[in-house]
Amino acid sequence: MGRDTVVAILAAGCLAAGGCMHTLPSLSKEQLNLKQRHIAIGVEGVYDVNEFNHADSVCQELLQLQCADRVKTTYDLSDPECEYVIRGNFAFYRVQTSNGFHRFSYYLLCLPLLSGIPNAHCDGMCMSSFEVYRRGSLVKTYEYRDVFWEERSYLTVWPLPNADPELRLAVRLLLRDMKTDFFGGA
Amino acid sequence: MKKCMMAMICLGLAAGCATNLEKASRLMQEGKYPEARQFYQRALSGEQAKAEIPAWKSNLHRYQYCFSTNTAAVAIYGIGNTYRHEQKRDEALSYYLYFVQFSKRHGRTFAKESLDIKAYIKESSTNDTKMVSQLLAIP
Repeated sequence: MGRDTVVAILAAGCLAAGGCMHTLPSLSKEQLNLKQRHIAIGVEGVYDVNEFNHADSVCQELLQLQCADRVKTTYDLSDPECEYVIRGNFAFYRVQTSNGFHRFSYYLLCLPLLSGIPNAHCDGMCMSSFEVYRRGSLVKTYEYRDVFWEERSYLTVWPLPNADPELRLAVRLLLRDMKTDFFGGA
Repeated sequence: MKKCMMAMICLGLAAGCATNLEKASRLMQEGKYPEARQFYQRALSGEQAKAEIPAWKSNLHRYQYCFSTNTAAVAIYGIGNTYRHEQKRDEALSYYLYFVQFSKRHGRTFAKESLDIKAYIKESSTNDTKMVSQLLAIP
């Protein structure tokens, strides 16, 4: 067995043991395949459980996806400048637990931990709901629930799941559904 | 000379240690509204980041959100004020509405600010009746 094969097997083992999982699919800009429309989308507010407004993140994501000519925050659900106005709220939680593996590892010069075997686990959920208004009247509501878990080791370099990327994922899913419902799938 | 140097160092340290809200209010008084807004935004983002996940409080035996509602509310109101001074009515009203919702959610009293917001709505003669009624219904 060559050195490369051993490294590949170790890497695959670490990935399998220290992976992560989300119940909602991740969507890239290419997968969404949105056409830029000559409309303006307003975001009234996307509030978390502590009533902090995440409208700026939502606007940034909508701008990045280039789905509309103009995206703005508004206080008015019937804003005459906007074709659609989005209002939403979301809840996010994450619980982290770790085992005593690192203590055991100290007696073996930390070698078990450096092998990438997971010693921590986190799981959580992000639940978001959005209301879409057109000229002041509610046209549809959407709800997304992403449950996730992740096994982490000392070699896990990516950050823990947090609220902002989860919200951005929900916005992409919202756009996917709005595309089907309002833009005729195009 | 030594005393003068010490006073300068103390002043420098005091300026460096000023919170984002203090820096923002100083800039507001100087009429530098975009710069003041940046500091208010920084204060608000700090509190928002703290509010993401509740922390374990061993003395209370429960998880609790640890952020300052007062700092966050002052920052939101401050951002609204910067827009108001820049004659950006929509943005100002947007942040005032955010401020009212946030204060109500956390049970804050905001009598002085509510009078100020009401006066601003009346003078800006907005056509949005729902917004006006929502904001004018503030205690």
